[in-house]
Amino acid sequence: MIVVQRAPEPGGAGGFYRAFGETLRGLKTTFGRLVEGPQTYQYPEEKVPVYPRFRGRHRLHRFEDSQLEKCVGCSLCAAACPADCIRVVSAENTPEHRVSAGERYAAVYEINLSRCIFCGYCEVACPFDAITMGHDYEMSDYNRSDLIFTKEMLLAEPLERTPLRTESE
Amino acid sequence: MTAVFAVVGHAEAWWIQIVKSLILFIVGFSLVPVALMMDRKLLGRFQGRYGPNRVGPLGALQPMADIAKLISKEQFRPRTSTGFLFALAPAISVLTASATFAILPFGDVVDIFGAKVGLYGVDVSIGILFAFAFSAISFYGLMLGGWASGSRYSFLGAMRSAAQLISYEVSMGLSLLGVIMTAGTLSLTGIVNAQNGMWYFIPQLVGFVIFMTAAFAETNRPPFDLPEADAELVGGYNTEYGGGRFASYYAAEYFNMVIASGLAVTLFFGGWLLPFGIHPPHWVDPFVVLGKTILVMAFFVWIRATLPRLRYDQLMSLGWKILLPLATLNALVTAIIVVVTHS
Amino acid sequence: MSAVIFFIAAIGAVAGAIGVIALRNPFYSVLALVGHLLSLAALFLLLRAEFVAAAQVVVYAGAVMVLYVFVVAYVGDGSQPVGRGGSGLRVAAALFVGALFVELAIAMLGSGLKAIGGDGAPYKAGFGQPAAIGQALLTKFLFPFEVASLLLLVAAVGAVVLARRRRGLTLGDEERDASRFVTARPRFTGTMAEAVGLVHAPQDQRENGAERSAGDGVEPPVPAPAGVRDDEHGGW
Repeated sequence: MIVVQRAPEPGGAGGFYRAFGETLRGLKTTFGRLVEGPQTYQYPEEKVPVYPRFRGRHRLHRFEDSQLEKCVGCSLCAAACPADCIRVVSAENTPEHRVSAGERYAAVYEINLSRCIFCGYCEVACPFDAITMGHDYEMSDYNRSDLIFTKEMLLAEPLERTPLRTESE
Repeated sequence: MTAVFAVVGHAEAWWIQIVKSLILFIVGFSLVPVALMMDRKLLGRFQGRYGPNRVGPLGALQPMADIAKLISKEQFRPRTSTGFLFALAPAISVLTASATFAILPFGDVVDIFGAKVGLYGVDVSIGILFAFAFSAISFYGLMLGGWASGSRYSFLGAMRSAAQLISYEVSMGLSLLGVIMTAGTLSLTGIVNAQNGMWYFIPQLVGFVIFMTAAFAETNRPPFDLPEADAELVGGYNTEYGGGRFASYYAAEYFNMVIASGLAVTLFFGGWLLPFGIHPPHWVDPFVVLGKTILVMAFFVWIRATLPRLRYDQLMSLGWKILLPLATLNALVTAIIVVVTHS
Repeated sequence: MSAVIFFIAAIGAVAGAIGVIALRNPFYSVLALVGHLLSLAALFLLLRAEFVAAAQVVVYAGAVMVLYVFVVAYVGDGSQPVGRGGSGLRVAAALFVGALFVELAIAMLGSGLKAIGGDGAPYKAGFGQPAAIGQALLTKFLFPFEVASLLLLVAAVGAVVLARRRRGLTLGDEERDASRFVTARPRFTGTMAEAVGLVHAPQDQRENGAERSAGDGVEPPVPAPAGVRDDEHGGW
């Protein structure tokens, strides 16, 4: 047997009293928020720290010691990309012109960030950890063409560091 | 020159009246951005956020930016609209709001450089009826705007506002009967002076609650903002408006909130009187009234932050089945008490 | 100054009155009537009858005309031509207009013309103020006042009687009304009632149910089990 517990019927003196009391309770609640103060981040000045595994804008990496690019132009990332936003054109390394550590290197490496869905499959697909998802999330621009990031842009250090969340946060 | 309104206190020279109306105009229209800003900032605080704080120091110039943006926009109207009425309707709204502001008393008659000046626009013998008359006309501002837009959203919003306005005007008028009978005058300065000793919100608590509820409904403020219920009616009667005309509607709305707060201060919170027998010099009076008005406006915002919007049938049954009998009962009881104590 | 206001208001009143009968669109007619009433209120103000002016605006422009606007805006958009009365109605209207004209002419010639040259009735202090009107209504004109309020009460009660429901709406009615919205859906197409075994398909139905429902999509009549009403498992 299902017993339905209903709220008291509205109307009448009791209903008026309850409505008034509930209104007062609501007023108290909102006043509490006023006393508490704002909970918001003042965004452009104050950035929300991200978690270490946050998937932001991609970055390409070099070897620390030799400064050679890790990317060998294998196009696995482009193949893995579900949004089809990565374009890789590879070229052969020559002894005079050595760019990467492998046989080939990426002559053109472009990511169209207006198509990217930040799934991180490229990062997983990469056999050399050449591409990783960084922490930058401020990527708005005035032109769509400016959102196509070239290899130089992806290799460069970001201008502003996105704050990282600490362990305790 | 014949005064159109018979003045209660004393007649003033024509130039004093002109200067007074100019000052009132400036003060009134400066209060509108203040009300707007207060609404947005305070509502933000009630919801745990800052509200606008980008334009100018602490966001103080936000209303100016809004107004500048709206006024510089192109005037347009839908093809189905009626041009003349479409342009006239916002003007009616602003006009009635600013006309009502004239009767709010900011102080008693004072001596300014030897001239006797009443710190109010006019003190008419019909007092509060003046406000009701203009609020009755303000209905046409909303109604014509909604009808002339030639849009269903606007029309439905206008219809709701019409029904709401006339329903709550009755309760509002009846709720003030108690105050008027206790004070024995319709003149607003007279009512304020009669509150010397005890503000009317104590003996007329029921009337005060009814008045405030009706005032929320008449100014289309939440929880009675059905005419502009965003979720279902886009913007209500002003859906098709843009630019300066929309700014007029917006200004009139906040002006009405200022006036409703001012009326509440005058009728229930003793106008320029201060409690505990404090009698400051007369030049303080307008600031006392302004301060109290802003406090009441803060209450408007507080309620907006707290209560959800009513359903339409709830609105109607609250107005006609609860507030109206309660207001009538309040008037009856007050009348009996007044007759008993005065004889 | 008062002469200027008088002529503005008088022209407004006359123009509004003409507009009421001359304009084709009923909505504009109503608006013209509102303009007429507001002009009359201004004339009352000039006569120092402030209370009457305020009452004129609040009651007529604010309440009565609001209802007119309501009705006209909802019902008549001017697209339908206003029906013409029969010839008998026209004759009656002409007679009525003639009688009204004669009556007004008598009043005008009898007293109105004389007053144009004079100063009019003297203004007494307190005239037209709420207190004076209340005094007059509750002493000198007490009987007509009470009769008028009784008349209004009768009208209000009559309106309530006419507008009320013929019979009250009971809970059962609401349930029946609600059940109308239950959509007709072929049974055994997957409701919770069937899933938990409240509704069973009979044996013969299960055999050819598939081809039947594929054929016409309409549920063949299935006897509902006892205790389950037909519209209870209709599904929403």
